[in-house]
Amino acid sequence: MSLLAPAGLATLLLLPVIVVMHLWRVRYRRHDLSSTLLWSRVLTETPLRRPRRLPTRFILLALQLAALCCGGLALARPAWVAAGQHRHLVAAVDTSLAMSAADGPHRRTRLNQAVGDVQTLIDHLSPGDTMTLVDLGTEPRVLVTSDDGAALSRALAQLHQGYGPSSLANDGALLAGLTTSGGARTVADIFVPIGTAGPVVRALRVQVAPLAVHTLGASAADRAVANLSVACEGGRCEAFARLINTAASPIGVRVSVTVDDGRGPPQQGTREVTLAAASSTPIGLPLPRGARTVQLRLDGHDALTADDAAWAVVPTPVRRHVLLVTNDAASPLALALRAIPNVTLTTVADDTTYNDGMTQRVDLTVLDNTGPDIQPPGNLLVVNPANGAGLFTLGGAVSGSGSLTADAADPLLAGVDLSSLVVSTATRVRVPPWAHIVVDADGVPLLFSGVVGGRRVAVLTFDPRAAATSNASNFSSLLAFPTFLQGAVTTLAPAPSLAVPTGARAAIAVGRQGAPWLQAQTGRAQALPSSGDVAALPPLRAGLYTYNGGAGGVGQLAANAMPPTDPGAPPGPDVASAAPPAPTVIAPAFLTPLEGWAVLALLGLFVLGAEWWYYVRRT
Amino acid sequence: MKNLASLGGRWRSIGALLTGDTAAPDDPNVLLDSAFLRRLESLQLNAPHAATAGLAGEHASRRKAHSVEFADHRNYAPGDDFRLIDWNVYARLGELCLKLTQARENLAVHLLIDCSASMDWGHPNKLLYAKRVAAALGAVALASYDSVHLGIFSDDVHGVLPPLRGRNAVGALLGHLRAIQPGASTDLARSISSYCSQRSRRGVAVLVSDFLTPGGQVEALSYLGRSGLRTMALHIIDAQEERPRLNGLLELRDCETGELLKVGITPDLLRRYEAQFQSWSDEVASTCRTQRAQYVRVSTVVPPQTLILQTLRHDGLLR
Repeated sequence: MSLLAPAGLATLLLLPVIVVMHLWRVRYRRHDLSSTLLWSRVLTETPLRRPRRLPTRFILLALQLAALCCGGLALARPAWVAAGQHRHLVAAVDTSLAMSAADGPHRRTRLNQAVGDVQTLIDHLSPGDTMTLVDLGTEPRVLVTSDDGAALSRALAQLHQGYGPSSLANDGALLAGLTTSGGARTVADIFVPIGTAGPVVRALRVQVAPLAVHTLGASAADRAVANLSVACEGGRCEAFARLINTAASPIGVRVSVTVDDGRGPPQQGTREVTLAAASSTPIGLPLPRGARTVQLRLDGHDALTADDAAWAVVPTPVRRHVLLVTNDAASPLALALRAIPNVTLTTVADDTTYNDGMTQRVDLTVLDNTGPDIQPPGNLLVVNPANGAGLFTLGGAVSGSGSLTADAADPLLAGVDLSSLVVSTATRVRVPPWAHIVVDADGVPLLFSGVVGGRRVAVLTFDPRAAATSNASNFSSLLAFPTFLQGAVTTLAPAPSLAVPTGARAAIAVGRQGAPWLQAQTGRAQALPSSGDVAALPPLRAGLYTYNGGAGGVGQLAANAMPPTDPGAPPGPDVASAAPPAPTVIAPAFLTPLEGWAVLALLGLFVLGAEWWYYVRRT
Repeated sequence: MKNLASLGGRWRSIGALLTGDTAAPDDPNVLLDSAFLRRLESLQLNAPHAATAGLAGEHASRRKAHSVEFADHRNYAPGDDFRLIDWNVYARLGELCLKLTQARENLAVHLLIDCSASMDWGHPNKLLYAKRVAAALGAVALASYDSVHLGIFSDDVHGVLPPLRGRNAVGALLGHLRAIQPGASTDLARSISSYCSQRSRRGVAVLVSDFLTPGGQVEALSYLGRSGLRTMALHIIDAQEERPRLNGLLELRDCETGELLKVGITPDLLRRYEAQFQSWSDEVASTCRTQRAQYVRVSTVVPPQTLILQTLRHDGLLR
């Protein structure tokens, strides 16, 4: 027999309390007699002996103690199982990038070794035993809880190699919840790659008990290319990366560089580099003009090949399409927008009826002193709004001459000096929950921005023109005005991403025309789920991808792996000394045979009823 | 014997006035009811050898006296009263014989009631039961034109009332009985000796008591016998005294002395108590017989009517 909730036995601490209460209350009951003459004679002839029959109070005491014992045992949830059987196992397998290293026997990957070990555990489950399978990849998930070996094997077959970083440092709460809800006879087995940080394992041992850690792999030595990026200035581009060596001895590697300009065959070159032991060595490579992609690869082989190469896309100027809705085509706003490089400006009157063709071709819509009943889709810059059109609520005019407070860290104000800004009045706006105030004058919001429904929105509550009939200001006459507009265009209509990490879900900004798709260098194109402004990327393996991003047309995207061990990375938090988080209680649907709490609870109620009946009958 | 019913409405009015026709049986103020009182008219104390009080009554006297009721003849002896010579016998037989007649005298009935605290216990209350029995016996005596003497005692005689005589005294008797209050402890010997020293007339003594006293029964009965009183002892017993239904840990308190006794009740102890009670009860009965007193054990479970009309008649105390 085992107790699934031993804390329930704490109820039995009330037993001595009841006994003490009875001892305190036990006393001789007074009974009046006509004479004690005969009783005295009886007691004189027969010495008073201890009563053989228990007095009424002792019977009541026994019944009350029995009822409390039944209740306490019921709360402890006893389960009758045979010794050594009916265990619950939690098998958790790390499926992060490090588990793809093929350093096992017959060059099996660590994940394959872990799958084989878990299958062995499944095969050795006794009848009635249950197991919970957990995927501890980048996004941990519980695969199945069952006592059926076939179901467990099918779930184990669904365990796939991931290419993202490990989430092991944050999985303690999940494992603790699973082991706690599994009962007293629960054992957790986790399968992690060699080289897993010691503090992480120690923290898991603190949170999860009992825990068996199975380390997979022959060596934690790894060499990798990390943080490959390209920076261009003055028409010249240079690639930067870090070469990582986690081995205990220095190594010499040859770095192969492949540059593709998209017009002819890729240009290749090599460089010999010596990497110190447990070091991170930066490397810079100037790129030829016209280069569009660059690849760095460490020649030779190590166990973990997924991080031996990295790709980068050379950034190119992005042309943005801006739609300006205004009745003043010669306003300073139109002039400033038209002057921004790589911006195609389309100007329409505010009585223009929007159509899908018009709105799907723009990256940013600027509403100047207008408030259409139906807001156009996509990113918005609203200047001196006439109505909120469901995005925010307008009030009347309010003085904007107070002292200005600006959030200088906001990207909208990058390089913008508003010290000379003078605003006569502004439109009173109730700032919606999705937005934050960027500039305000004594509490009156002058500029706020935020993201709602995947669209970026910024609102200027005053007119930048000094000659405006209402809410006039001197903003258009300041040098900060075109700077602000350029920052607004790049912030509200950002350039598409050029790189994403592997193994993790990511999102890229796309245009609304067409259906976005993604294609690896070798493979078929796959459609991407999109909300119109954002498309979701599936977990990617390392490599170079081509995608159709909408307004920007076809682009390229690099997915690079993060090395499991990076000596150059900043130290993370000390997870070993951190207090373990409260376990998340997850009730797995496994079977616990023959729980006896219901029987005990009924028995306790029966005894309690008998005690009540006896008390009523006696009194 | 004249029928009390001949008194007609007056007799009934006394019963109704003092007891009520519809009073509840548990009412402590009700000692007799009218129906029971009417049935008592036909009864008489059976005291053939009891000394009479000398006054006219309905009990045959031991002495021969002037009367119209013929008793016997005897030969004339010098000194006899000539007026008693039966001249008809002399004419027939030629011998001088005296004509003897039987005197009818009344009986002195002494109702001695124990009103100690031990009597004020039980269900029904033993003292109330004793009052009802005494009232019934007193009514029987008064209906026979006997004189009724009421003695109330506990540790001593609390009151000696003047003798009651005649049927009209039933009301007074009931009033005296109703006024009895429970007293203190029991001292049977002292009380009876004190009573006997105040009452020298012979007759019948009815001692109503629970006899729950460490001693003194022999002395008390001896005093009564030496006083020429024919004694009837009515031993009042409550059912709980005979077979107590107790359990658990008890602190027994003597309601007469206040003595406390702690006991843990067990079936064995109850059995021993019941045996002890039977032994003690037999001891009291034996003492009564030794002192030539009639002993009747009375349980309060038995209604007073049943006791008077059946038990005492069966035992020959009433006829």
